[in-house]
Parts: sequence; C-alpha cells; structure tokens
Amino acid sequence: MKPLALVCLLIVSIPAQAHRLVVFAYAEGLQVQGSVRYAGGGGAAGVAVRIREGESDTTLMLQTDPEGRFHFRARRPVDHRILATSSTGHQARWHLSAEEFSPASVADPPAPAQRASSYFAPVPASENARDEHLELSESQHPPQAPAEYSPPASRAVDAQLEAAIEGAVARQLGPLRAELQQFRHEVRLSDVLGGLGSIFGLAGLYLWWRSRRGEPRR
Amino acid sequence: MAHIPDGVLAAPVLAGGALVALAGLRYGLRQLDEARLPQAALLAAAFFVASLIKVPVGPSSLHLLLNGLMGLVLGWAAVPALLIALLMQAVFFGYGGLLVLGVNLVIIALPAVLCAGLVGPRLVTASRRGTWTWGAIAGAGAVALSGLLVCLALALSGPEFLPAAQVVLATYGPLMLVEAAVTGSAVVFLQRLAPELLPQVRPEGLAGAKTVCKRGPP
Repeated sequence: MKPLALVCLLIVSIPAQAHRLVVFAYAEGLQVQGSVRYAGGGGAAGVAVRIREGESDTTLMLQTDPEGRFHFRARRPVDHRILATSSTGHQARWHLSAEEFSPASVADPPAPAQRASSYFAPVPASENARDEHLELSESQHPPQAPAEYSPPASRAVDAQLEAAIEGAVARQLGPLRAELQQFRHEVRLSDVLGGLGSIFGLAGLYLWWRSRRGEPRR
Repeated sequence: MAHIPDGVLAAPVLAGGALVALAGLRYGLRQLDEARLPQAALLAAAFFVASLIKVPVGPSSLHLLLNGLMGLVLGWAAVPALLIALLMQAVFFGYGGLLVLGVNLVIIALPAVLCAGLVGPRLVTASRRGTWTWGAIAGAGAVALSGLLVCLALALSGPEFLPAAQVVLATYGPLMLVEAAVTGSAVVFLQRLAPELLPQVRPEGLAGAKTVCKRGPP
C-alpha cells in the first residue's frame, strides 16, 4: 500500500524533481555561454564553475548567476573542461571541444564588451585587452597573404558574412542544445518503471536460484 | 545529498567504503531468507522511488531516505536490498555512481543496521504511542547518522570539502523531521496491521505481538 502511495506521489512530483547537477556550455565565436541546472529542475544559482583551458593549468573560476547561467570569453579556441561544484557537493562536468569554436567567428572582433566584463574578474582587464589585440593582429595576417588572388574588399565581406552566419546559427542552436541536454537527464517514467521492474525481477531470480539450490536436498 | 557522485571522494575512502560494504553485504545476504525476500524487494523498490520525492530545503533539495524503516523491518537484510536500490538509482537516474556505490551503501545501510540493533528491541515492549516515538527516533536518527557519514566521507577526502559538509549537515535538519513523521507512522501502521513484518517482535514470542494487536482497536 505504501509503495503504491509513493508511486502516486512520485508521478505527481516528477517535474519538481531536482537532485542531480547538469552543466552545459556552447561557444559563439570565443564567447562561451553556459548554464548549470538541477536535472529536471531550475537553474542552480551560486554554483562554483571551474574552467580549465586545454591541457594547460590555466583555470578560471566563476559563479553562476541567480538563473544558473555563466559566461566567459575564451582566450584561445582550444578544448575547455568545465567542472561545476555545488555547495552541497554535487558535481557535473562538460567538455567544450576545440571544434565548437568556429574558425570564422574566432577571428571576428569580440562581442560587445559589457556582456562579458562582469565575469572577467580572474583575468586582469589589461591582460585581457592585450590578448584581444593579439588575436586581432594574428587573424589579420591570413587575409593579407592571399590578397593578390581576390579583391580584398569582397574577401573581408565574405569573412564577415561567414562569421555573422556562424554566430547566428550558434545563437539559435545553443538554447536548443541546452534543452536537449536537459531533456536527456530528466527522469522519465520509463526509468522509474524500469528500475522497479529490475528490482522485482532480481528478487524473483534470487528466489528461483535459492529454490533450485534447495530442491535436491528436500 | 545522500548520494555522493563519482569523482568527489579520494581513492582510499572509496576503497575503504567498498570493503566495509562487501563485509556487510556478505553478512546481510546470509540473513536474507526466502520469507523475507519479498519484503526486501518491496522496500528496495520504495527506497528507489522515494529518492524522486524531493523536499526543497534552501538552495538544495533532499529526498526521503527511509533507511530507518528499512532497518527496522529488514535488519541486516536491508544491506543487500539497499545495494540493489542504490545500483538501480545509479543506473537509471544517474544519482551517485558505480565507483562510489560502496561508500554510498555504507552511508545508507550502516544507520539502518544500527536502527535494527538499537531501536528494534525497544519496539517490542513499547506501547502504541511508544511505537510511534521509537519509529520516529529510528527515522530521524538514521537520517542524522547518514548525514554525519556523508560529512565524514567528504572530510576524509579533503579539507576543501568542509564547507560542503557543513551545508549538507544544515540541510539534514528538516529532513530529519519529515523522516521521523513518515517512519513513526509507518511503524505504527505495520504494528497494527502486520506485526509479523517487524522481525524484532518474533524472537520475543508472538504473545507480545498479539497483545499489542488486541490493545490496538478498542
């Protein structure tokens, strides 16, 4: 009777379930948008997010905002390992691979500064500015080299257009991917029934095994 | 948080937990006879499902553990039942993990077994009101002990987890109250309708159980 009541309660409370931490991040150019949520629940506020850049020891520490979101600007288009740790000890990981930083957008001038500025604390502002200049000067070299083969103006427009398209696609796809990721971690009724079935099935198997073993003796 | 996820604890803690869990499991399996297996399976299923019923506490959320009740009903047989339930939670819900299964089993099952040993004998001689009180003590005590064990596991793994451990401890207070009410009511219910389910009643003679039953409905 009690399990039945529990199952009823469970069916009512599935959408409110919040126990496991899930982190997700995607890149728009070098700008990385991320969110930390409880599986099937709302955003996880104030969760510490540690970002490791490639194989280096450079780490960036962030805190999620009240909606569980975080964003930062990557310095280089390399693999980023993201680790979220809540105050209660839950952990979640996400791997942002280098391929996700689209090459055209990476060369693009940085996104509006005010979007990222408040999350820049661990990276000193001056150093950051220098990095951006570095990226810009680097990215200007390749278009200059093949300039003889195509008119510079259309080349620049092409690159800009490509970057804009890639940025737009990333912006559209990002939330969709986040939703997909969240959906994947939601506990579904099939999970619950599968687990219950496994428990009773295992009990039956054990009983059967015990009875088989006991048979010859009786 | 009763389920510690993979990748948080240090290797020695994981190994120690696994060893203790194995020893308990060996003993528990011997106590699990055919007559008690259906109850074990039912309670394992209830435990499995109860993890989805969340009690929101501050920024985090907790769920019913029911390990006090499982200890009272199953005694040592609660250990294999809890192992199966935790395994299913790890596989189907992603709570906890396979590497930390041993530690999580100790965290949940040790309080259950202690409840069986310490509170169980008192239930036999208790009056009806006393039954509720002892059931509530078992429920609250088991949760409190589980919380302390989580803290111990975190603290042994590294000093950086001490703040997390404190948060865990703080959030266990409200859960203790809920768990006390649920376990107390469940034990009274069992004592009145199915006293044979509480194994501690049997060794003292069925007479004790019968008088309790007669005293029940006036």
